[in-house]
Amino acid sequence: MVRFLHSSDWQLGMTRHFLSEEAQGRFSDARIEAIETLGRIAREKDAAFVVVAGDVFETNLVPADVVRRALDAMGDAGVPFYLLPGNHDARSPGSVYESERFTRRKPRNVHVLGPEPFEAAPGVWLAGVPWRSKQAPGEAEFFAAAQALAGRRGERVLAAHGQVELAPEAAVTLPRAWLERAVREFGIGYAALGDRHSLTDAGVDGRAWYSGTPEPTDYDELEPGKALLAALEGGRCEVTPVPVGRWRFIERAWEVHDEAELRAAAEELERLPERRRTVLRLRVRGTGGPELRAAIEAAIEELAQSFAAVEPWERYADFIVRAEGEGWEALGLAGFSARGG
Amino acid sequence: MKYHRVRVRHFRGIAEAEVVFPDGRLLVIEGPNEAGKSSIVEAIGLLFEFTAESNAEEVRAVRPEGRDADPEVELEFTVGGQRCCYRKVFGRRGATELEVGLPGGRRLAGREAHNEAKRLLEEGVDSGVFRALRVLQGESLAMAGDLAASASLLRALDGGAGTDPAGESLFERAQKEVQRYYTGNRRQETGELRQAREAAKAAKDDVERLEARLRALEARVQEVEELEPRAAELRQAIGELERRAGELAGLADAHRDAQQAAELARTEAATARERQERLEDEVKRREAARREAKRLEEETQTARTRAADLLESAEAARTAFADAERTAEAARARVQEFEGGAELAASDYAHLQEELQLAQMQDRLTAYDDAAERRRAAQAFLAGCRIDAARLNGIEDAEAALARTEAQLRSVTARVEVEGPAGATVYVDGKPETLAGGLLRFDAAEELRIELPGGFAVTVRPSQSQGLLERRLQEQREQLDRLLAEAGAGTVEEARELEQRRREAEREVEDAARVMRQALRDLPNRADLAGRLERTRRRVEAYRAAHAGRRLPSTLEEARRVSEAGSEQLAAARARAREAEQALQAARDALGRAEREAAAAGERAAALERQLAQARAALAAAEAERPTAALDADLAAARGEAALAEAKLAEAEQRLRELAGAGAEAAEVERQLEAARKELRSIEDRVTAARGALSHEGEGTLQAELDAARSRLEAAAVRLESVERRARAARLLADTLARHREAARRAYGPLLAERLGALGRRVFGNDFEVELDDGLAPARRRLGGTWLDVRQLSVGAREQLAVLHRAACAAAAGDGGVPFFLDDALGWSDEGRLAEMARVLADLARDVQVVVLTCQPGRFAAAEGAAVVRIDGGRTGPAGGPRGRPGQGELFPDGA
Repeated sequence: MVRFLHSSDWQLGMTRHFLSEEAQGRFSDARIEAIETLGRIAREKDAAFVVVAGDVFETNLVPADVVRRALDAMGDAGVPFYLLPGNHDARSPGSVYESERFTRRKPRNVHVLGPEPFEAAPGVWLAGVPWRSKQAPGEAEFFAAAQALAGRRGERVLAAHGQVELAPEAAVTLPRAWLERAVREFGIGYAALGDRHSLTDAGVDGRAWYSGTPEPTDYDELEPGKALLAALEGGRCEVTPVPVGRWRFIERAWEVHDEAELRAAAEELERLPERRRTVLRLRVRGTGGPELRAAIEAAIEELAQSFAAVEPWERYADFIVRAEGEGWEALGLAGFSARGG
Repeated sequence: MKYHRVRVRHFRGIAEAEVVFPDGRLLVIEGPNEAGKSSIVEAIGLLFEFTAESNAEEVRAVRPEGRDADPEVELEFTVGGQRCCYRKVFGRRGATELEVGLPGGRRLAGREAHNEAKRLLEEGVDSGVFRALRVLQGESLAMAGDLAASASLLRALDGGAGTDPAGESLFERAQKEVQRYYTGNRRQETGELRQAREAAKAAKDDVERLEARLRALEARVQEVEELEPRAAELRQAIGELERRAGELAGLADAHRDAQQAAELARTEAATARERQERLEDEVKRREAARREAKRLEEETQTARTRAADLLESAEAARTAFADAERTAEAARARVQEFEGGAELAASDYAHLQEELQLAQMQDRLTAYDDAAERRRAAQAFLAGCRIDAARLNGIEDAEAALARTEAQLRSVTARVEVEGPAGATVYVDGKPETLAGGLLRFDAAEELRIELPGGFAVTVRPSQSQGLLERRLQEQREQLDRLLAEAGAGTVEEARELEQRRREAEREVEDAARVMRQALRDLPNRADLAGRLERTRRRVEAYRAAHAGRRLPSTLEEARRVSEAGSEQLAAARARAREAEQALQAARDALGRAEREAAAAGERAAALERQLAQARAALAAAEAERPTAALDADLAAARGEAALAEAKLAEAEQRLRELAGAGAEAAEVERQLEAARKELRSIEDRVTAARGALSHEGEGTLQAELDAARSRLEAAAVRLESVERRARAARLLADTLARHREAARRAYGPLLAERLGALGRRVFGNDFEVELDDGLAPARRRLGGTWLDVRQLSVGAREQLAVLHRAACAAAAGDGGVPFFLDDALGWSDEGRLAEMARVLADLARDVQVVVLTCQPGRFAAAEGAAVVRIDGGRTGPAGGPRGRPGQGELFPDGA
């Protein structure tokens, strides 16, 4: 039996512009720490290697310090890492994988996947379908890798990057039919997929999975922050999600009409764990006097100090300030201005 | 605002004065002009407007004349509910003191005191209103400025309209807030908003710039992606071309060998062909020699035959020549025979001709001699002749002159006619004359006497001129006679005859000379003619003597006939002789020719025989060297060899043609290879450059910069939106408030008008009404049912309206109104109106502090309950009178 870790979409070097500089620093650190976590999990779970199914880096222009830290983390992890170039870090001219900052520092346990199979562990062959440009790899490239694997005896793992027919809005770059044929005709035991940031079964007899991103990057990701521990034995395939990431992207919609409601809502958020690693998008609805609005603003300001970031969601324009109530007196309006419109 | 007390020292002409303002009562300050009433108002103004240290013109103007003392003003007043005491000493060592919150309030000094006082004033009444409502001398006719701009007044009006001061304050705050974001006219963004927008723009520019770099990089990536497949293609093509080039290299060797073989075959074939041609030539030459020998044989034979024939011909010619010689000899003899006869006949003919000539010459000589005789006779006449044409002319002229004179003489002769009875007789010079027919007529050239019957006598006497004419006639007659004598003639007629004869003699001479010349012909003179005649005569006689024995032709004609016949015979003989000579010459030529031809034919035959011998010898020699049979065999062998060599050459060339295709392909492959390598090098260079750029940017900080710029852009956008939101809100609020305020003003405009109306009705009557303009100043007034523009009002009415307007405004202004001075106002008002105005002001003074300054004591006597202070140059005390309570105000002019 062989066990290995499947991860993808690290997107190292990603910048979230709504984060403050300090928060961005922690966000970036967390993504390096995720590599360390993967290494630790691999060691603990006796995984033979880690395969990263594309988009290791956010871009081929990823700064040298990010590359350096990533390579250091992988090197320190002590297990082999197999990296597949995805659409963000395609093996195109100027690829980070061919850059000096990568090749000069690459530890011996880090490999870049191509169609030529590696014996990643005794009797376990691993090949990838790397992106070579902005264009997704075609059928020929996909099956070249599958065919190369088919020529090896043992367990066969194929890493690929692209969209299977799952989300109706996303353009399909990796048709499920290819995966099915790879499993059926070329004896691929497991397809490690990347590109979706959500942990997803690609629907090929449980042999093709998206691991999702190890650290969340956005609000719309389902079950992010995980890796998959895959086990292959005698034609059977088992996958187990393992948590890796610590950051969260959450959204809240407040319904506030008075101070009490505001307090309750704020308190709910203040009870959340790991707030400094949580990015909050907040929408406020309701009605109230100007004093309530001021209180809401104050509450949000306070939350912003606690959370990694608080993003206004649709500019919380749904809060309507009423021209009645005690608050207006506090403003000291009189004369014609007090007569209202 | 209210004043309680003012004290001034060293202020213009005032040494020290104090006025206490009564509370709730009109204060009237009376005093003559220049007594210092206006200085009180001016002092209050300076106190608030200038610092104690001010060097302004206004401050310097109030310094007292001739005294080294600083003006001092002290004012006690209440504003904003606080009682204050404010004091200033103006000058270089100026002092400012302010006590707020009397009694026992804060004490401030210096600049702090000044600022605080200013603040209190502005907060309480606002300097605009404060200044606007102070009425100074000479300005009383003006309406109270643009009161609509006065915040205090408007605030007051707002109050009147049911608003309160806090509203205005909010409005101002809103305006200020707007001004944080927009410039005065609200067109331009400013301050925070502008900064935020500029920051956002700068961040956007940065992002765009960096993104452009990124795009350039992506273009590089694309370039490499496009080039690399081509490079791979080229590499593969180069591989294939190199393989094919290798294959073609073997074929090239074969081609080279075939070329050498073909070259060899070509040389051999050429050699064989040459040898064959040589032998063929030799065979041809031998054949030709043989033919030549044969031809020579034949020709020699022909030549011999011809030579024999020609010898025969020469013999015949010789015989013909001899015959011709004989014929010619005979012809020559006959010619000689005829030649003798012809000569004799010719000489006879010549002789006869000479005889003829002799006769002619004899005739010519005779004619010559006759003419010479005639010429001699004529010449002899001419020699004796004295007349000539000129002389004849002179004679004829003289004769004519004589005739003219005679005629003249005749004309002076008297014509005498005597008439009487026919047959009567008269005596002329004694000689009787009968009157036949009753008339006797005659000329009388000389004096004569006519005696008539009856004893009468008439004497006719010529005149004197007659005598002159007669003398000239005599002279002319003598002249004519002399000329005739000279000419040798007796009469004029004879002279003419002589002249005629002279001319004939001259012609005779000429004619004789002509005849003589004709007789001589070409001979110069008679002697020659005579000589020639003599010589001819002798020859003729000699010829006759020589031929005396025979008969000579009798006539020249006969001689000529005989001579011509002889000549013809001779000519015929000569022609025949010439023919015979020609025949002889022809025979001679024919003979010579025949002999030459015969000789030539002989020589040719001999020459041909020599050539024949040579040809035969040469042929024999060649045959001896290589017999014809051997030569034919050699030729046959050479032909075989040449054919063989040609075949080999054809074979080699065929092989070469087969291999030539491979050579061309090799060259083409080499060319393609070169082109492909060149393109590959170019692509590789470009790829290297692009990769270099990519590597450079990859190792650089582009992404980091772009991330940072995007973060900045995001932050700037958020900030901009936030500021924009605030700015929009501020503007919305300000605009809304402004709209509402305008509406409120529209509402309280009528309120002020109503207040003014109420005051006016008291002065002008019950139907008084007033309309205000946008600036809240009176625009029209109604009275007695008629609306009039305020400019159409009388000066007095306008002044009253202005005072009432100020009063209404002052009452409306906040904080209990603004103290309101009238300085020598209402000077144009009549007694009744003045009294009514005084009563209105006295009523108004219950709410607003009103101070009236006047130079006419008792002018405002109608103001009930008013406090009156009098200034009259001396010590001033409270004005007497039932209205005032004494001691309300005190004024101590200078010197008091």
